[in-house]
Amino acid sequence: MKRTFLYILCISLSFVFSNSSLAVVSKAKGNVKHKTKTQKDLSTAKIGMELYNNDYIQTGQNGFAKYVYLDDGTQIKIHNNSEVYIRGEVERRSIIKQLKVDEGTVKFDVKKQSVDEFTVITPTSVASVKGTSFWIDCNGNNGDKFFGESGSVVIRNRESGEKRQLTKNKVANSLPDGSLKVREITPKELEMLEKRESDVGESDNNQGDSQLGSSNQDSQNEIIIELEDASGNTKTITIKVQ
Amino acid sequence: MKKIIYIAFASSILFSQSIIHSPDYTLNSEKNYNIEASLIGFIGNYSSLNATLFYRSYGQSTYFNDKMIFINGKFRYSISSSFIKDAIEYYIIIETNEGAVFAYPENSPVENPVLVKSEGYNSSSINSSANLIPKYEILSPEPDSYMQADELFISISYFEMDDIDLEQTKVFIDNTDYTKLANIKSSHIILVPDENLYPGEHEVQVMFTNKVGLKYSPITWKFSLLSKDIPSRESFIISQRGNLEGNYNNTATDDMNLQVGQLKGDYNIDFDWLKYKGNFLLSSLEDENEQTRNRFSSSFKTKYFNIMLGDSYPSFSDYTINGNRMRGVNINFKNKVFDINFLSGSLVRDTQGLPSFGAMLLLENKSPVFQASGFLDTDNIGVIDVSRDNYSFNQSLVGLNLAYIKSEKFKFKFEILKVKDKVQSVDQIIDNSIISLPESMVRHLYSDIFVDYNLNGSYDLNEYIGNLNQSEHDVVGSVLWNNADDLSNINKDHFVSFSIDTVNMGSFSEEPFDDLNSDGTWQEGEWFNDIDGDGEWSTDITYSTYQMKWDIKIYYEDLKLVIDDFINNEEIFHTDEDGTIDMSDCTYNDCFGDYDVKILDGQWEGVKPQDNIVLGTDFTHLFDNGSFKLNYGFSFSMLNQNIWSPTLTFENLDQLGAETAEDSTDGQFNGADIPEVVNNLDNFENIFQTGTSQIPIIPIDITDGIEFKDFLTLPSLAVYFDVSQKYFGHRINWGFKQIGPEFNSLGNPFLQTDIREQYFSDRAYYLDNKLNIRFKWKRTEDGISLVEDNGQTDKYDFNFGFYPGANLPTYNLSVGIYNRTNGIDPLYDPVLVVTDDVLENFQVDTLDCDVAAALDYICSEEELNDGYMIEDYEILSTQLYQPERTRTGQFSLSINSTVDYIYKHRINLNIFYSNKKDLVDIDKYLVLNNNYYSPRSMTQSYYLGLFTTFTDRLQTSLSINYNYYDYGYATEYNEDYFQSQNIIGLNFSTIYETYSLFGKIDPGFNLSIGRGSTDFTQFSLKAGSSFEIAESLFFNINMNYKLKFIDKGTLYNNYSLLMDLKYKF
Repeated sequence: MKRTFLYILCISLSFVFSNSSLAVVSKAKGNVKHKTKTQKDLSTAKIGMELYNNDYIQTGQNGFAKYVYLDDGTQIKIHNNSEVYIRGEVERRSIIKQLKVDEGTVKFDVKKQSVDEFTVITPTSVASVKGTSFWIDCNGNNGDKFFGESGSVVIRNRESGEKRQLTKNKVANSLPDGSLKVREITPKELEMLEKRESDVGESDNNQGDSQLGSSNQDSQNEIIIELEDASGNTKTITIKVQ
Repeated sequence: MKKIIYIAFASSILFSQSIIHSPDYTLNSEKNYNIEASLIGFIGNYSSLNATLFYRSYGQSTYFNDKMIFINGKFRYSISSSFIKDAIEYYIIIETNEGAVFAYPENSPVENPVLVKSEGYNSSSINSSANLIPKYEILSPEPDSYMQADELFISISYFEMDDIDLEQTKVFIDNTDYTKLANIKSSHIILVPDENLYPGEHEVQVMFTNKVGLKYSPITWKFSLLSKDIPSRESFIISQRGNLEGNYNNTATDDMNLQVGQLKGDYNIDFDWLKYKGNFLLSSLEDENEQTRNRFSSSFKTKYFNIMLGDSYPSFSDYTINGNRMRGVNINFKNKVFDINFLSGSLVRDTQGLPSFGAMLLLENKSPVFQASGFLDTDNIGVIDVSRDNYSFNQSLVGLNLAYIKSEKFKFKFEILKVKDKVQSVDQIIDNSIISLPESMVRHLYSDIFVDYNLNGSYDLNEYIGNLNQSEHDVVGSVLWNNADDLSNINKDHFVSFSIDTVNMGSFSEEPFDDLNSDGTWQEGEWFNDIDGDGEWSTDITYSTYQMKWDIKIYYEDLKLVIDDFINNEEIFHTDEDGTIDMSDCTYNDCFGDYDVKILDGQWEGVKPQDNIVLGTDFTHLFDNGSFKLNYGFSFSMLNQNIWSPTLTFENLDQLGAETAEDSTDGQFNGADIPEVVNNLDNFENIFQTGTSQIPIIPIDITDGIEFKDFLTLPSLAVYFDVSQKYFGHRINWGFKQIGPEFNSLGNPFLQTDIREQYFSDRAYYLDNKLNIRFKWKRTEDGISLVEDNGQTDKYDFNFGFYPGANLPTYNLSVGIYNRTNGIDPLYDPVLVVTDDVLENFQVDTLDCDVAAALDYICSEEELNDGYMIEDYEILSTQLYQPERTRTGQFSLSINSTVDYIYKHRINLNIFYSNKKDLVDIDKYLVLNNNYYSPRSMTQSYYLGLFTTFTDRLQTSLSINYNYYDYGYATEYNEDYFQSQNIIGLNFSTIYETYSLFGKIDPGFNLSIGRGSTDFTQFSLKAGSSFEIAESLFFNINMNYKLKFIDKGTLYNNYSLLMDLKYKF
């Protein structure tokens, strides 16, 4: 009997869903704090830090953090004065992604999801994306603003349950009263978003062709040879190399 | 066996109970694989335990499972050999009745099972050059992105790859291994370099290997680091790069040694709006007395202009300049409408010749005249010309090529090229030149000519030919032999060298005799020396005649002094003891005399300066969207082969070609009136310097108008006509080309002239461009005459090429038939030329004497006895009229293929056969032409090569070849006219990357055995190495040693050493 108890006591089993890392912090500037689910205190987030399910990130007045998911390179940029919880689980060599945004401004560059949609949850809204680029400006319980850059985002107001689709150059306002409206983005808003990016060194000039960074997408290189005959006619030979 | 889809759990054991199992890592696919395990620390009944083996083939996703049997204290299971292929994975689970579970491996057995592989799988997988394709995601930095140096963070995710051997993973930044600094996890890598990388572009490379040793294709990407101080404006220089290379070559071949060193470099810089490219080459063989081997060039290229300074290789057309090197300025302007190319420089540089090797020479212009008394006629002293040789003129060049592109359907081109030798570039005098005194100046020092009757090569008593010292009047048998002067009385202080030689002067067949009556032949009663002892004065034996001659060399600067010395010597020689001077023998010109020295400023002995101008046009028409192309044009040239010759004037043109005195003043040239404008031609000397040496003399005769056939046979014209068509999958090309015998372009001196060509070819593609078939016919005539029999060559070529696709064998087959004739019919019967044509019918006739008498021919006594006469005739020598009629059949086959069998191989097979038949009936022709040399020949060549890649580090090459050729036809008169040779060769070499100081080495050997006209055996060894000494500094060395035996007697130790040092920046 005692032996049995000892065996039961001593033997422990770990479950299927082992705590695997979901993402890696690729940039951290200024005041950026991090906490795992089990930690009590916040610690400074650093470049290269692994992120797990239920990790918490907080950026201060001058803080900026960027992290990237391990399975498909989806990038999340957390601008200053923001608080987010990272959630996800590994399933069939993919990560089911979810981000809870309590407050702040977050930009999403979501690659096409193979298993399930990327879900963003705020106090006011729920956004589901398959593969798109957009912003969230979350004011906590005062509502959210969504800015569409490419692709489409399905936004649902948690209060009213109303759903709207956000596309490129559109802005969606989701309020605690249940209203959800979509309009055109203004030039000022566009400028504001660009400025936010350049302020943290994330302007488009510094970015390479993300298509080259993945083996899953059409990683094609092209060799183009132009030939000109004696008559001046030109012909082009294009060689695609994968 | 049960199949369980998925079980994933791990157990951790806190107490000392655990599964004891020793995996056997040797897997034989032909035998069962046995697994044994036991549970240590378990106190209880083992029969209550439940042991399960989970196993699968490597690469499968699901496990098979089966219960292990407890035998003799262990749980055992045997995996059948039929299941085993190359590698298997397994794990063991033991459960107790109480629910305790034990696993082997302990941690995550499902994800990390035991892996065992067979030996065959090990070697083939390790050596396979086929890499796996990785599945990855570059997290940071993004490819081709820019980032601040302090934010650098390198990360890559391989989330989807579960078979990576993390221990084998490598990470490089700019080829530097950063693996130790990298945090390599099961799904991703994180690397933050511990030192700041410099601003600029960098390359990251990650290399994965899977658990069975197979490599994944390397993952490489680049990014750029920004400096905080980077200027805000665009960088002035977009890119720059260069190379500097030095090499040394030392070769000894058949006792001939050659050492060559070279230093070369190039530099390229791109300013975006301007691209500069410069290169140079310095050679140790550079010699100022030869054409330069050094090269210097700079090129500046903008959107419309391309300016090249220094050495360049312009190309206008075949008829002007086509790739010949020039040094100077080459400017090209090109836009949508015009394409203009201007040249100015030189094709050949001037060389002065070597002072000690005939740069200057002396020629007698005029002989001194002696009076009847024998004294020199001081008003008629001799003249010596000082001339030049072994030099080359600076050949200057000016050219313009102007193309007008009206539209894509029409293009017109005009070109002009002028090349002229600069006479002033070669000096008249070369200091310290060593010159030989001409024969006329030293003949007085020679001996008499003598006949070598006793065949001993030297003079003996009574062997001389007279003492009259007139070469054509020397008479055998006269007295007073004059030996060569011993120079004892001559001041030799100004001689550089002097030597005497016995020179063969010719032949003589008369026996010595005393010519009493001075009639030049022996008469009865005159004394003679019976050399051959036949009792008669005879002339039937030929003897050699000799003379002892002095060769005296002096410095040019001492010429006047030497002349004075000779004059003094002459006086001394002709002064007797009493001081009386007797010059009477000088009437026979056996004396020196005196000479004036004249330095020539032209008409030197060496190459003559030339002037050449070529004008050309070219028209191109395109129809039907380029499917039909018409191209035609003509070029015209004038060449003055010697601009020292008199300028063309009315008078000298009138005299040129005149056969009689009357013709030389009739105002006509070749039957046509000479135009008055000829006298004004010197006004155009800057464009073209005319002269009596120009070709053609008259470009075109317009007296009777111009017909098409006149134009077609203009001697200094090149004309062509070409049509290209692309229809129904056929590419057809046909045309005509003619170059006259007097067409010359110094810009393309290798152009074959006096030919007419016609050609046709058709190329078609089938099977989706995998098969191409080509037929070509070309006729070349040796000459452009429309009435004469020109030599002619007809060539028929068939080509088949089959390229089925990547990694498949390629085939190439060629068949050629060539017929050749030189226009001369073989003469099997003797050609008789009548020398005494009595009947005046140009035939050799036989006539009765009385008939001949009627024609004023008197038969000789012998002919009278016969009653008839035969006209005298000679047999014409056909030595200069050798026929050429041949037919050549040629075949070649080439097969190239890659074969993957164990390793990767590339096989090349080449076969070549050529047989040239002489269509002349050789045996019949030899009857009258004993020395006929047949141009027949046969060539066979076979080659088989195998190139094998074992690993990334090791490659080998093995080849064997056989060559045979013969030519000529052996006859009873000339057995050595037939020659043959065969050569067998075996070659083996390897390339091996040592990954050490020695870098990449390539040892090898070669064996060649030749039999036939020359028997030889040659064995050679070679070795080489190429490695990087430091960053961007590469060194390469190749050594070759050959042991060569020729005809079993002569042995040569040949070797070569090549070293190369290269720096890239």
